[in-house]
Amino acid sequence: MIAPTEALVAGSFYTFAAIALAGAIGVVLARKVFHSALFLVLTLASLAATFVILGADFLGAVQIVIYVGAITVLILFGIMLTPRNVELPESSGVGRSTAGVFVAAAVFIVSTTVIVTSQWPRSMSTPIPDRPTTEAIGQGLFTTYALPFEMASILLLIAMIGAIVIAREEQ
Amino acid sequence: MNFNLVLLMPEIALTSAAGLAILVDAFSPRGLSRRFLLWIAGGGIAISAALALRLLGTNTSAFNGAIAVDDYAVFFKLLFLAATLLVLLAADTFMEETRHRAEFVGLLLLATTGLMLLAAAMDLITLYISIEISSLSIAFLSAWDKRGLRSTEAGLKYFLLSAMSSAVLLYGMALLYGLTGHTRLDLIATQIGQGPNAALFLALAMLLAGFGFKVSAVPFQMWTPDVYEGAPLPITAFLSVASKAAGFAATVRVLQIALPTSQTDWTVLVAALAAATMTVGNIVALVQTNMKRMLAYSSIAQAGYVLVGVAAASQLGVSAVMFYLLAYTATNLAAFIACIAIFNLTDSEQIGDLRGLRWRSPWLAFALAVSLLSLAGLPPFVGFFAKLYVFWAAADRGLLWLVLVGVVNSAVSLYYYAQVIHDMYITGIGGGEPGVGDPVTTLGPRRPSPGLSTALTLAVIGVLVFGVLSGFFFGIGDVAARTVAR
Repeated sequence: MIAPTEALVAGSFYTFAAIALAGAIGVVLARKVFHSALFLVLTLASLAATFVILGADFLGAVQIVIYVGAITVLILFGIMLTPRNVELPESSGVGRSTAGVFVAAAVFIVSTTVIVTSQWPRSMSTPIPDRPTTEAIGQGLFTTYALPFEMASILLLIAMIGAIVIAREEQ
Repeated sequence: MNFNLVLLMPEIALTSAAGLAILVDAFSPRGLSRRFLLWIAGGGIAISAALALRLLGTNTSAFNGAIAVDDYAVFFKLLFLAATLLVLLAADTFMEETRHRAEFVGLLLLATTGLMLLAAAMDLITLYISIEISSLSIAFLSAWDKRGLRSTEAGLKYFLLSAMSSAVLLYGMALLYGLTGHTRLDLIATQIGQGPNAALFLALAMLLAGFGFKVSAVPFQMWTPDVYEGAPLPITAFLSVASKAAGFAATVRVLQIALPTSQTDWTVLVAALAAATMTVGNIVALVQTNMKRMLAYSSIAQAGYVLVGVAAASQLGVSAVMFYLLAYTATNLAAFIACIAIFNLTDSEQIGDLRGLRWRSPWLAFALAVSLLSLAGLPPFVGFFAKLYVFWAAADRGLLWLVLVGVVNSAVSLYYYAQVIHDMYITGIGGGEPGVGDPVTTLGPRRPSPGLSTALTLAVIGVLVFGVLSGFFFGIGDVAARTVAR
């Protein structure tokens, strides 16, 4: 009985991981920044699915509401409201893209090597608890993590005040 | 649950002062005057400092180990509060000319709150959020002068690069969490096994990169000259002392508590960063012609000397770092505040335009000379003793090559610091004695405002007193260092 479930979990994980990767490559390769933003939606949504597969149901829902919903809309608005006729210096030099590929490859090789060769304390076969996580997260926010939670509200306050001052048109 | 709010009172007081300044300003018909805002902020700082002093010797942790309330944290909190007070006083000319004064004061106080929490953070989550609180507010404050393109550029650069470095820092934290299953620094230490572990090394490198941005260590220093040059000068002063000191406070705490050298040997890595930071900072500073950029590279070099003390990885090293940061805060504030007053006077940021300053403004020339000599590390100023202690701590751990690099660097730095003093004292305008018809002497002198003069006087007194009583102040740091290092 367990084997088919495991196969299903593994299958859906690899499917969504592949979609996320394809979306990420699309973000980088798309010619128009608008298309990049749409590819980003694909990646973010597949990551939400991955979270759910890993048993983080609340995180998956939040990922959809905030990243797929709000942040993408914000990015699209930003693109649409930015004037088109701004002269930008040509940034697609060969040297620059070579450097980008080199750095990306280096990060990939180093992190893969490290993840494969390191000793991790928990084995991959630890079963994922099959129950909703929302209650535990709520409990945590008001007990163990009460201080970081309050600090995050100061951070948001700073973001709001600063954004208003910076974006405001002076007469 | 330990929800003892008394332990958090210094931060609560400062946040309340920030909120008060912004809200009262918003609801008063013509906005608050500069003087009234200064009273609110100064009152908040004084109350916060008094509350922090009461916590001396508490040495406990609060909110389930999210923050530490130890003497180490209190030492840094008092340092940041003092620095913020001087920056506010020095900012009074800037505040006269800028709009949104209440928000400026409010964000500065909130940034200080973030730095205070950063120095006390005992948990990776708290640490990360406090870094974001301080970085975000500093990014806004750097862009405050909206008429100037350079200020906007400074804010944007700082924002983008701090977001980038936060990403690296978070990656390192995630690896650390994955390895140990804990976010609390003390619990992480209990779970890290003996022996080399590639993931642990990568996590360490990423954490150092994230902190390296905050303290502008080479090779994460690229933003420093541009942001220092573009941001309003009071903010540059704040960035160069308080923000840097908080970055070091957090670095030392994380390295000492979560990653003790008995398990992970990071000495060589930090020593290499220190050597690179000192050398690059000093060599590039040699060729600067703009005073702000020169001080930016000088502050990079100073970060290198602090890293020498961090690399020592001992209680002596931590005490030396604390004393160095105390000395550096007073000295660099004196240098920047003197620059604010001088730039107001001459309308120029070029080092060459400081020529003959002693005839026009002997007091400003004296203040700048004292702070530059202290930065260079000459006795009897505090900078000398600060360098002595960090080099001693490194030599004590057998890092003689690093001490040698540091001493050679100090000699090199003397050249560009002394060049400025030479310009101010020996050279007249145009190379000779100053005449009546000189272009700069005929400029209408904008005398330093009372706030600026007070701030400069206090900072110079700090440089002199900390130097004369260096043993006493080192002793204070030494006692406080015991709470994080063994």
